[in-house]
Amino acid sequence: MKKRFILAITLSILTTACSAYAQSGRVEPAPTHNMHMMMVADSNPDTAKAVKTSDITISNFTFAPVKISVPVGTKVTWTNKDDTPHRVMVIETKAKSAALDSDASFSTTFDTPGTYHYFCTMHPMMKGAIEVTAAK
Amino acid sequence: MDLEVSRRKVMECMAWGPGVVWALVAGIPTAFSMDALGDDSAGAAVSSFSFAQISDSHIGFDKAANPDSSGTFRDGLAILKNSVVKPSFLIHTGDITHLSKAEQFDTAAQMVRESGFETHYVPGEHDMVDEDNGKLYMDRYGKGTKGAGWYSFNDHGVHFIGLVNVVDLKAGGMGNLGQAQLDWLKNDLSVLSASTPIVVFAHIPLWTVYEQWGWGTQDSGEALSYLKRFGSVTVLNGHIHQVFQKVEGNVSFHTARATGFAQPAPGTAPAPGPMVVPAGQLKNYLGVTTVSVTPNQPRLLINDATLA
Repeated sequence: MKKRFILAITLSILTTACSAYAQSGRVEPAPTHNMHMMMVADSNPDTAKAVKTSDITISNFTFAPVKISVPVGTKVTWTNKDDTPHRVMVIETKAKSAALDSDASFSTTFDTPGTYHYFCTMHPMMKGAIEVTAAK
Repeated sequence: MDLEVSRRKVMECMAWGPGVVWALVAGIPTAFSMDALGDDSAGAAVSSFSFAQISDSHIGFDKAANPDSSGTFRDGLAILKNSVVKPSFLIHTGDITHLSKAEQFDTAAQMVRESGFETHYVPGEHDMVDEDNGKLYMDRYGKGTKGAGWYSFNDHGVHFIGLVNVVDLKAGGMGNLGQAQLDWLKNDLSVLSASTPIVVFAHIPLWTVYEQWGWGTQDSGEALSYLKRFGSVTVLNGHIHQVFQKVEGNVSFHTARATGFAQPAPGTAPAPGPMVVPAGQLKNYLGVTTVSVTPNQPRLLINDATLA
């Protein structure tokens, strides 16, 4: 009985360690959606994180603002205002939108501080960057 | 008399075993790999024919720049079908659809079927944006192709090469062929005699038309280096929805009009993309291209017709 209890604790520590690794390691190409779910699953009392948002407009084959700085946990939304589709991909997290037709949007949440680069996979000269700062 | 001598010399060369044979093709001394001499599938017997290029149909596009992209695609096919010298087949240089939707591919295929033309395709970036990154295109047009859909075939003694430069694009870059495709191309060309006319077709221009708008292919220089030894190379592209041409040595570059919608000339607008033209003028901006091949004429005859 005691043995089983220790095993359960070990497993739980391992799981926590794994999830911490996935969140901190930008090398790990974990889909951003999962990161977001992890945050929820952690039952972090700081639910205010989820409502931080930032908007990027796609217009004339340009991201605006092209560079933003947001606090960790911010949900970033791209909206296509062009007459032609664009497709956003964040290089570090591999988060990728569908082909965004006019007025369509794509969102992803940044849960780890760092610098992220994104571009349009259809028109790769379109690039932008997001600085995600640590919570104070 | 001179010809007789050179023929004798050729025979001597051949008697020595495998090597390279020189001959006069259209007045240009041309090297033949002896391995290719027995291959009559390309180069050996070029005969007169024509084919057509149709491009950027963007089926599904319905915005102000052209509310009826299906109708203008049908118009383009009708022009080719009713032309005095009917093309032997079509090549579609991509952006068949606007958003890679199954019903858009269906509509395009149905209209091509009705036209009766055999059609060879390469994808545009708009054809590879379904959830599975090109599966719908590959399911329909990828049979018998390599990699992301590249392939070659011979017709009337001409060697046709369809390249894909719209997948795995790099941030900040332009069109991209990638090493696997370049390796394949080098190998595909290696068995051909230099006198074989080559037609290369791909969606994004294989020469830099306007870098600021990404109108070029970042590793096309490598591909073109493999084509240097050929006496007749024609490069046909789409993507930019307007006619541009350039001749460099034995290589003729040409971009075709779209049937889908017009785009601005390089640098004349803040960005590329669908351009609304004055009422009643749209068909002057859209069009199709026919290409005529004549034996011993290295320069193919390219004719651009508008839908007007």
